[in-house]
Amino acid sequence: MTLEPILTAIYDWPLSDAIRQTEYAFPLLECIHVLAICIVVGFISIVDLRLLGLPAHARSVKALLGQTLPVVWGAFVLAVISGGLLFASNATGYAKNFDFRIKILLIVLAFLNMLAFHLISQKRIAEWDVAGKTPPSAKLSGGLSLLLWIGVVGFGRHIGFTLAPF
Amino acid sequence: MDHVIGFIYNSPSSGWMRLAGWLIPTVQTVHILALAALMGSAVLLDMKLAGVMARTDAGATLVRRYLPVLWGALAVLFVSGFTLLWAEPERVLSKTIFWVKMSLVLLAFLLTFLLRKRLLDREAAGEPVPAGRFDKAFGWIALLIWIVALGCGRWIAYSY
Repeated sequence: MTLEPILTAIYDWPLSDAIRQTEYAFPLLECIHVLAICIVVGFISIVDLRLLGLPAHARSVKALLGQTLPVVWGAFVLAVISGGLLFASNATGYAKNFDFRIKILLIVLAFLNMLAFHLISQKRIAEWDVAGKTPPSAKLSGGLSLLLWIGVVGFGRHIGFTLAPF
Repeated sequence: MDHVIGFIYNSPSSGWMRLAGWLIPTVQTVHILALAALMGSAVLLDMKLAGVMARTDAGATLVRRYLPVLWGALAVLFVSGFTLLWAEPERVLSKTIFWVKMSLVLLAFLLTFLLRKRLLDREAAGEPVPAGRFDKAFGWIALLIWIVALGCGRWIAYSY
């Protein structure tokens, strides 16, 4: 099975063509994408650093998660939509690009890391969410998340150097 | 300005920076990561004054936790940005959008000082945050200026 026909279909999609033909569509989408990623990474690192033991504004991790995760998810959806449209404009090119592939892999790993945190550490949050202390499993999640997202930004920025827009 | 661009471009350090292919993407990555730290802090501080976020937390706590992050991020942005300018002076200094961006950054920087004062003064006086429409508008406008400045920054690559 090959992805080629699907990628070509995405490339030939009228919306993809419209992005290629409209002068400012690509840079505008990029602005939205960068802004959304900055908010995702900015807010996630507040949580990550708190899990690593640094103080945040809310005393409990539970309260901090409640305040920050809606912003993270909102910005993430915006990043996926804007990123999806950028991808569509040159689907065949991005799919072959090494930096793009690594970036997507790192996002998947960051998602799995978050899932593991919710399933393992957060289950017992009532036990450890006192006096600023976090268990080793939560520290590991925070550290990994921070590194993965730094990687996402790095490889994402590098796409612009290894692949010309359409 | 052409003299300045020529001087920087012809300096040995600038030439070396362009030859080291890894340098520009790496410094740009640092620039974006610092921008993430700045935006995270700015959203929290501005939206606190606007009454949207961290409503149950003290303004003084937010100022103490995130204002140093915002200032630190701004310092990293300045150093990394200056490095990028030094490597490719023509790409940056000859663009009107770059100067628009820097004016907006300066404006947002000044507004952040005022925002800090408002957040702390309100609480010292025992008043709620936001105290009224002015505070709400102030928070939203300050955030909007950071966002537009970010967009102008990305636009440097596309303007001629």
